[in-house]
Amino acid sequence: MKLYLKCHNPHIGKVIFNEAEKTFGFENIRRDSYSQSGNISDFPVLRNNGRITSSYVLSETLQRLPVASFDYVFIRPDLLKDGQAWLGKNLEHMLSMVEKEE
Amino acid sequence: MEDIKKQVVVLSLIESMKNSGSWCGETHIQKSVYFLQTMLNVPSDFDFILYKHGPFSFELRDNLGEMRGNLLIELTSRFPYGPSYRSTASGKALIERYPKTAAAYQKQIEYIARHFAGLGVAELERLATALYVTEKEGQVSAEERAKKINEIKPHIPIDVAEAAIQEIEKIAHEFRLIA
Repeated sequence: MKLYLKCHNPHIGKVIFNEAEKTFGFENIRRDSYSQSGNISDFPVLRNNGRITSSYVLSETLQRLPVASFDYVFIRPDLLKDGQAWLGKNLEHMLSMVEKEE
Repeated sequence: MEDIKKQVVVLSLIESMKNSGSWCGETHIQKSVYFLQTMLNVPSDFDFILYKHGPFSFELRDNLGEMRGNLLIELTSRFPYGPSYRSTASGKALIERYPKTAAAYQKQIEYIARHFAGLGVAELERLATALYVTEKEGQVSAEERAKKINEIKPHIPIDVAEAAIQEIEKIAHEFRLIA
């Protein structure tokens, strides 16, 4: 589901958060967003022959590791049902709310 | 420059490098952005330091990770060589939504992509380090700058460093002629 949303709108988490704040009040909404930074899969490896090689050269699996990324929007617990109903009704529209240059 | 515009610049660069037949690994992107920013005045404002293979930006690396997380770019495995970057459909759509930013720096991006597409990592390191030293040392002779490059990167002989300095000056001069 998340991949589908991001394919259509890479910044959907931010859009949902902003719209939810407008609808339910900023004090009732929280967001926790994280994208893995850096390149932890590319590191030096000391081999048996004493040479140092990039991990990428040694392992195809490491080259293919997906990047860890999550984006959570939280709502005050007693508003959860209203929030879910609101999200279901407005998600398609929010997917089209992509940032554009003015 | 806003973060999203920086991403548009990086995406445009990746597109341009691919069109020029580039491998488009992280080293190519790092050094190309360094040249765009330092020589051709594209205001992407990434912080660069001198690292293992010359000028490097951890901020740019983080940005590339974020763009992967947002499915704007993807890594293609080219085992046993390093992976290469390419933009996704979402990434191309983002460039289209920021036409002014893409157009504003198109000339610089295409120029750098054409020049660097076919270069290997070693040559990119030499040229980018030559530019780094030129920027830091200011108005000193090419000989002095070459000695400085050899001092910080002993595996680059002085005569090779001098050739790299001449090459970056040629790149800058040629761009001024066409810009």
